[in-house]
Amino acid sequence: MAEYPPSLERLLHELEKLPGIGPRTAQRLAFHLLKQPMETSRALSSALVDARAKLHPCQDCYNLTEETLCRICTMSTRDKTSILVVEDPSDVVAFERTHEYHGLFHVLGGTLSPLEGRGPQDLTLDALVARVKKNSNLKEIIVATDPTVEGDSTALYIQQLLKGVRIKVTRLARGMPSGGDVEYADESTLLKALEGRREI
Amino acid sequence: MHVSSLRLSHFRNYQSMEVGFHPQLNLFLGSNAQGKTNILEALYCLSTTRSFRAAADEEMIQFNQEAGAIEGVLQQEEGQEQIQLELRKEKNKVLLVNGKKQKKLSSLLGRLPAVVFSPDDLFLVKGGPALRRRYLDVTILQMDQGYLGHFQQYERTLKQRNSLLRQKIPNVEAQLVIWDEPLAEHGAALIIKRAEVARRLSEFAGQALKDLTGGAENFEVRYEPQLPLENNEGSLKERMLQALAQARREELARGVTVVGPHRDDLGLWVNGKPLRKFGSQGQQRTGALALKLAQLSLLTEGCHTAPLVLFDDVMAELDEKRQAFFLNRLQQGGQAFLTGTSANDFLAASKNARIFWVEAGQIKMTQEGPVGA
Ligand SMILES: Nc1ncnc2c1ncn2[C@@H]1O[C@H](COP(=O)(O)OP(=O)(O)OP(=O)(O)O)[C@@H](O)[C@H]1O
Ligand SMILES: [Mg+2]
Ligand SMILES: [Zn+2]
Repeated sequence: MAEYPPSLERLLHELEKLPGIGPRTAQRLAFHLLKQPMETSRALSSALVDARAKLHPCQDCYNLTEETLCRICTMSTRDKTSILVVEDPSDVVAFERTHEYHGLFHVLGGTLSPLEGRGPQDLTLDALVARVKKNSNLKEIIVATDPTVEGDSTALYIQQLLKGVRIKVTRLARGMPSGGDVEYADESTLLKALEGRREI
Repeated sequence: MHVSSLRLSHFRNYQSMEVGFHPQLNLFLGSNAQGKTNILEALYCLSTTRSFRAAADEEMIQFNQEAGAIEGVLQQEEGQEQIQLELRKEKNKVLLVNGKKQKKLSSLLGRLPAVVFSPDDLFLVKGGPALRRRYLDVTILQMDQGYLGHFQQYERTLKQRNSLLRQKIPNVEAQLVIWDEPLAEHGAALIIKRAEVARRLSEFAGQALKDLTGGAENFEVRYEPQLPLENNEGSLKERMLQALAQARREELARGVTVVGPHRDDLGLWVNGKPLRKFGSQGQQRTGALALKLAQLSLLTEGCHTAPLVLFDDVMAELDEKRQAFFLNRLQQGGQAFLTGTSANDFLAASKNARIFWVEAGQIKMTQEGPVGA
C-alpha cells in the first residue's frame, strides 16, 4: 500500500471515523478538497468548529439550537397540548417537513439499549417527566421512536414512567416497515403513521 | 432452477476458479484436504449467506487475503440471475444480485433453498438442543418470509435482555419488563411456527425412516417447548409473560433469560423412546439421515423451486442399497452436488452426471457421462 505523507494520513484517518465513510470515500473526499483553493478548506473547517461551538441542546426539548430555547419552543403558534417524542434532532426535521404536526417535540438522545450501555439516565427521560408535570395544558404524548425492538421498548418505558400522570400516551402506527428509521421515512409515510397512532 | 456456474476468488483454498455445472448431478472426487467440501460450502453460502460448518465468515477468506468472493449464476425459466457474495475481513459481507448491491443479506433467503447431508448430521441426534433448533430454524427461514422478522427481533430482544440482566443493576425491574413484551410476542410466534413445521417434518421423517430401513419402526419428531403449547399466539404470549414474571428472581440471580424458545428442543422418538438415549449407533445414523430427507421433502413442498442437495462424504458411509435409494431420490429432485474420495462411492450412479477431479484448490479434470465408465 502507498505511504501517505503524515498530514494526509491524519486527514484520511479523521474522515474515516465518520459514519458511512470507508477508506475509498475518505480518499475521494480528501483528494477533492486538496484540489480546491485553500479558502474551501478554511470555510469547511471554520463552519464545523463554529457549528460545534454554537449549537447545544434546547433547554426544554433538547433539539439543537444556538439560543437557550429552540425555534419551535419559542413559537407562540405551536400547539402546547402535545409533545412528540423522538430519538434524534434529525427526526424533528423529518416531522417538520410534513407541515402537519404543530405541537412540541422532545428529543431523547437515542433509545434504551443495554447492549450499547444506554440506560434511562443516558436519555432525557427525567426532563421529559418534569416537562409533563409542569405543563398543565398537555393532553397527549406521542412516542415516535423508530419501529425497532429498541424503539418499541423505549416507548413502553415512557408509558410506564407516565403511568401516574393523567395523560394520553400514544405510539406511531406501524405504517413504517419494521426496523425502519423515522429520519429516512418519506413525508406521506410519516403522516400516515402519525394519523394512525394508538394509545399504549 | 439450477446453478449453471460458480466462480470463486480467494475463497478457502481456491485462489481463482470458475466451473460450470450439470443441471442434475455433479460429483466431486479427490483425496482428502483438496477442496471438495469447500465447493459445497460456497454453494451453501449462496443459499443461506452462511457456512454450514460452524465457520465465521472470515475463516472462509483465503489465508493472507483481505477479501474473497463467491459468484453463482442461477439458471431459471425466466432467465439468468447472478448472485455475488463478497466476504471482507472485519467487515460485513456484501450481497449483489445482477451486480446490484442489496440492502439486506436476508433477501437471499429462499431464493435458492439447499439441504446439506454430512457426516456431522449425526450430531443432530447425539448433540445438544441448539443444533436441532438451528436445523428447524434454517428450514423455516428458507420457506417462510414472515418467520425472519420474528426470528431477528427475538434474537435482538434476547441479547438486549441478557445484557441488562448481566449488568446486575439494582432496582432493574422497570427496565427489565419492557423487554418482556417483545420477547413474549416474537417468542410466541416462533413457538407456534416451529411446532407447526415440526408436525409436518415428523410425517416426512417417519416416511423417510421406513424408506431407509424397510422396517416398521415408528419415528416421531416433536417440538418440545418448555411452556405448555397453546394453539393461539395471543394466549401463548400471555403464558410466556406469566412465566417470565415467575422466573424474575431466578433470572436476576443467574443474569440470563431462562424463559423462551431459545431453550426449546426438538424431540426425536423411535418407537416411543428417545433416540438420543436409546438408539444404537446405526439407528442414530439412520435417524439423522431421515431428518435430512424430511427437510428435503419439506423444502421441496414449501419452496417455489426444488432445493439444491449438497451431499458431503455421505455416500461412502452408505451400503449399496441405500446408495441406490439416495441416487434415485436425488434424481427426482433438484440439482445435486456430491463429494467423495473414490469413484467407487458412486458406482450406483448410472445416470448422467458431470464428474470433477479436485486437487489442491483446482478442478483438474472434468468428465461427463455415467460414473464408472
Ligand atoms: N481460509 C482458507 N484459506 C486457504 N486454505 C484453506 C482455508 N480454509 C481451509 N483451507 C484448506 O482447504 C483444505 C480443505 O478443503 P476441504 O475441506 O474442501 O477438503 P476436502 O477435499 O473436502 O477433504 P476431505 O476429503 O478430507 O473432506 C485444507 O487443505 C485447508 O487447509
Ligand atoms: Mg470434505
Ligand atoms: Zn426546544
